[in-house]
Amino acid sequence: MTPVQAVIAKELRGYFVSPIVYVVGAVFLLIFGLLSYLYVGFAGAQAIQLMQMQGGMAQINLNDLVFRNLFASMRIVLLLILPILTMRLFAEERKLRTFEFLMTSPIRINEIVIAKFVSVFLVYLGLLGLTVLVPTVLMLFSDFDWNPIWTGYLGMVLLGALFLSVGVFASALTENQIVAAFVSFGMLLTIWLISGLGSLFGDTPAGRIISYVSFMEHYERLVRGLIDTSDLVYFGSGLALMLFLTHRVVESTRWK
Amino acid sequence: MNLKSLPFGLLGVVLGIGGMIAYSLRPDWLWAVTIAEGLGLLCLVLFFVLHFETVKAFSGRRSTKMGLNSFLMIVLVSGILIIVNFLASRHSIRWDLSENQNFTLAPQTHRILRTLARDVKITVFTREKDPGYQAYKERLESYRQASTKLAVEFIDPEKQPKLAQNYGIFRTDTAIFESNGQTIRVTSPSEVELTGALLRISKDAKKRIVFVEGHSELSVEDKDRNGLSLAKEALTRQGYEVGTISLLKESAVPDNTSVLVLAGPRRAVMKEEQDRIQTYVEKGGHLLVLADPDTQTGLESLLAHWGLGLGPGVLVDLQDRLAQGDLTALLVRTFTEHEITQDLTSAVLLPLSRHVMFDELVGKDWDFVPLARTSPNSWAETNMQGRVVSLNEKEDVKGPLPMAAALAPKKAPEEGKPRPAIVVIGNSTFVSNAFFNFPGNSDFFLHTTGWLAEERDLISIAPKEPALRPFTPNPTQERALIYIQVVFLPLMTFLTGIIVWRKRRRL
Repeated sequence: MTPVQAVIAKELRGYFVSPIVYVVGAVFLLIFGLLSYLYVGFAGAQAIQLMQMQGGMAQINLNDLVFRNLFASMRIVLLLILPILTMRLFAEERKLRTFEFLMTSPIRINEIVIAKFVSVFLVYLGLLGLTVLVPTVLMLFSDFDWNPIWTGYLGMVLLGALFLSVGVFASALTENQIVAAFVSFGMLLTIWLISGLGSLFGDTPAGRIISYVSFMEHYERLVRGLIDTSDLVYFGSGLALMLFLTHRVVESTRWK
Repeated sequence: MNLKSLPFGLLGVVLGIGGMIAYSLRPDWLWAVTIAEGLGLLCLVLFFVLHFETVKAFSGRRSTKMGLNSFLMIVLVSGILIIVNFLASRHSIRWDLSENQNFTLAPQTHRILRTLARDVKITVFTREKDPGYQAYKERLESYRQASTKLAVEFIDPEKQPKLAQNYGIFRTDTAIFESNGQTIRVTSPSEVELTGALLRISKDAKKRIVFVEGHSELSVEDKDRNGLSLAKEALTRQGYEVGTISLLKESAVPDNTSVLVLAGPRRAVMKEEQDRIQTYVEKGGHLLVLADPDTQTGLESLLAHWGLGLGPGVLVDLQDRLAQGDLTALLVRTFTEHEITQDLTSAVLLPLSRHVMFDELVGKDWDFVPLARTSPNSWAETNMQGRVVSLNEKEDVKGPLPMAAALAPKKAPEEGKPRPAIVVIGNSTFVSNAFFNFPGNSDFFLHTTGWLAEERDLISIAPKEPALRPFTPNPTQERALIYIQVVFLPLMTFLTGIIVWRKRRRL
């Protein structure tokens, strides 16, 4: 077992023996299932309304009325829930004074950072995997296109990875888990709100740059069924930057 | 540390920040800002001079060096990521997996964008809450990706009312196309509209489509059910100029006529008029004849020059017809492979039509291609008296029969000379306002005129059909959804958590 695998295994064990991941998972799945159920309920009524408004030319299908809304709503759920998954990663080590062991162990800092991120990302992927049951059940009764659903899931994976990397960074900053959760929550909310600032500037170069920094438009394109390499690069570089910053913060404890 | 000189440092910072705030509030008070910034700088310089030893010691410390090193690395990595993102956003590759291919442009649009001769500026007046905002944004983004000659700008007419007023915007969701002094206005974000506008704006000379009048034909000005105003609108949108002509008044069909249309004449076409049409075609003109059954127009003698003929009776089809409709309301799905029909995806609805005939001996120099045919279960009924129609082998003509045909000379024309072409369709009402919005009909008509006008890239873009798959769960399904989605999954996870927690507590 390589050192990275060892850290990942240790972290995963930590997640699965503590009740926190089950509670978070249950809430996450409940919200996902409930939202999809509610959107299915609304879809019928909405369909009739759209038909009347647009004279029968409306797009009426589960992809548009249920899944697009579901994935769009999951943004806020991820923003609230993922900081709870990441808050303990470094903060707990600092609190329990095991951080020094980790720092003096032969594992390199980048390996520690990557292993911690990968472990929480695997937990998140597991939760997402369970949610696939929701469209699968719907498929038994109705007819819809799976392609936009897969791109929606890709969006959730990438957005989740970005959120988790922000959470890992926040957790490295402090030894208090609550503070870590709040810092990552605040950072994510700020990146979110930046898109509002971007639309305030409109379609000017400044507005375009500001909107680009926020994850909103990148995520929305994926939810609408478009895979654009620039969006993949955005998520990849956001993730890389946050993990790099985490690395710098962790390393700074050596010389501070 | 020398405490006496500390205020210099504080004062310097306060003056520096104060100056910047003052500048953001009152940019016109530049003199005051300059003084504040200058004084601030002076204070800071004084502070550093007085604290030189401290600053030297601080910068020599290991943590400062490491911190600076870290800071520089962060700047470097951020810089690299910014460049990577900039390049990625400039040169991106896209895979459109959306249900309706919302992000994919039609091949025609791509062709037009590729061959765009000059720069086009598009200004869209729309607000984020307007219904067309998203569609404009997505579609024009795809356009901009496909061509570097496009400049797209979004303007909120509420925030910039002066600009909106200058352009005469009276409703939002309006796009203004500008190029070479021309301006075109578009009020819908559909691809047909946008590409049509792009075509029109990028061309100076427009092809002319001329409708013959004077024989009770369908009129392009008529907005009623029997008019052709929708067809005219569609043609204009495709970049054509639409006009009318009375061949009795004119001595010849004007040379700039790209297509001459006879849209269902009801009264006789005079011999002189026929001569003018014949001369026009022989000089390389393009003729479209829409001839309804039961009309005596004398067109037969004109068409006979090329071996064409109009069949007797009315086409009856037991198979390819409008559901619940009359046996004569044909819903044509059988097309022959031809440039006009190759992209047709929807059926064409032809209410009451006649068939087209061809005499191979007379028309030996011409290539005759039947475009659309009735099914084998059809015939041309010559006796429409009484409601019950059945095939009478003696009088009726057994199907399948072509109700539309294209004619082009077998030999290529001499260098530089136009190639004549004729299309005859045994019905005119399918283009009328009452039927034009039937998707197959508008496509068929626009493809035909596009082929005749020899504008192969102007063929219509079929609007994307909205995906219609409504679903309303019945009570059993609803309960199943609740149990599996809302109850089962979260509860299982929660129970696992409790089991793990209890197990841990017992340890």
